Amino acid sequence: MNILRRLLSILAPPETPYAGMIVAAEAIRCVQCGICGYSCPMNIDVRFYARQGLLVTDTRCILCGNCVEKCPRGTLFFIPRPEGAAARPMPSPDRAVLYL
Amino acid sequence: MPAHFIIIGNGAAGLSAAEEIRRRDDRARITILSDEPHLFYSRPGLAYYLSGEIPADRVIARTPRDYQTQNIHLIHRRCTDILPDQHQVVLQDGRHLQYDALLIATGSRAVPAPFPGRDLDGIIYLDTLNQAKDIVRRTRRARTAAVIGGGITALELVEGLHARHVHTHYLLRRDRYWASLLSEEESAIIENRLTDMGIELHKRTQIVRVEGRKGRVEQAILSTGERLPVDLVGVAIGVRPNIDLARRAGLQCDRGILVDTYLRTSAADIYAAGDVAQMWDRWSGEHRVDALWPSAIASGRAAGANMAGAHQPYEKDVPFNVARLCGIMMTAIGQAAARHTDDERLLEISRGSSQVWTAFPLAKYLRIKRVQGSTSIRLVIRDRVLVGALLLGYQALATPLRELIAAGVDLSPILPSLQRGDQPIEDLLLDFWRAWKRHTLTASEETHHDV
Repeated sequence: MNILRRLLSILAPPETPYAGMIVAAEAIRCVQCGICGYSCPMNIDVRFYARQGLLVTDTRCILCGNCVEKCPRGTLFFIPRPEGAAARPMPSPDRAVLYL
Repeated sequence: MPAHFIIIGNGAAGLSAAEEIRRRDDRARITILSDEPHLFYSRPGLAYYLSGEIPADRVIARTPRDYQTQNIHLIHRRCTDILPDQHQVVLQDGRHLQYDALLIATGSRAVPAPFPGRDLDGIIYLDTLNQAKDIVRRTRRARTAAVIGGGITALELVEGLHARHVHTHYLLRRDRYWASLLSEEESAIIENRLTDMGIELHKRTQIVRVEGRKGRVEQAILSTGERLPVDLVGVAIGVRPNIDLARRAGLQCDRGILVDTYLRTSAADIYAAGDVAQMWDRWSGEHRVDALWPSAIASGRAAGANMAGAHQPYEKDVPFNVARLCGIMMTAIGQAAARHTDDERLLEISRGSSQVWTAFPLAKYLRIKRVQGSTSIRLVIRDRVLVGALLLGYQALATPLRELIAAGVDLSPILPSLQRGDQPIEDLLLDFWRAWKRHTLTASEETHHDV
């Protein structure tokens, strides 16, 4: 199911109304349930960012908004992509910083 | 020889402590003892597994590699005893482990069913991942269930069973849902949703006893005299801190393990954090227990820091929690209760709630509320200061209100408008918060400049 969704999204990436935005998180609302990552067609470990209040800077993010919509605690939201929040691969936990 | 830190409990507080110790100390030996066979998982996430929104493995929030890279040694064994004088813990397999500092983060567990028949097969609780898996397995055959309890977990059971096509009766001891926290209008919003979903609500109804056949739940006898044929009975009437281990070791306990502002217990080098710890609460001026995820994370981190030698007092933040009740987002902050209760049974805390929410008599409190459809904003104000709030639906005010409550901000400038209700509450509060934010930022910059 997940593989199929991923394949579909790569072949036909959904149009996003969120161009120029980035997914941000309010860590205090996050209970690390994992729905965000599960609903991500690109299989990004969104929870890793959410629980630490980091911007989702993963290069694979296609801004589809699934994680924002599915989060049961309102942890995730779109903000205008700030300068310097360049897309980058997932940082390892020890190098994680808030790119703002 | 590097210090050895032992943590009992692999939940939100225990793991946060371990990760904090590692952040501060590369060389320390860190051991977590857990009586569950899993890696760290999201307890609140069990609700979404139960409702079928995620598979069970997705609630596991750390990989084996996360433990390895942080060099946190996880032992899946129950700790049977703490020997404070020898600085040792005893495991169920008889091993003794020596610690330099110990953290008790054993969490809390569901209060057992209060009625005869509680030992029958089919009485279910939602405390652990294994229990959640067991419930899912049972729903394949079960057709009807009854659930008792008034907080978040009870509703999670109701919603989860319903999502798995089990016809569910929800029994409320009083005349409305979560009467100790919510106002009548807020309860009504949730109850309407439940009824729309097809849940059968029974108000002012309790289970007198459960009868079974061949050891299995067969019917619930209600206080109304009704006999309800059921396959499952969900019980979520509150949680109690797991203090048995601490009590046996001679540590000072009340409802939870009593800790000082450094989260130290009465025994040398033993700390406690999370649901099990009864911490000093500056809001009420008493030691209180919480069963809140954000508190468990924050206190776990603070305990870890102090175990690693930080010696920083832990200031408990304003109690805050977010939940999804029948698809409606709820945030409760500070002294959020809509009314005072002296009913001891209502003061039992349930998972996802805080004693502070219901800490004070509300006679001299001002309550401002606005209800519209399934959205509600309610403010609790004492002596012109915002001390609590509850949001249903509309969530944009959650952070502003949390910050205003934490800072104890005087609402005088907007209070007349709030009371008159001539302007939208959300606009007034957002504008007020933005102005307050600008003012505090400027003030702190000026202070910084002076230094």
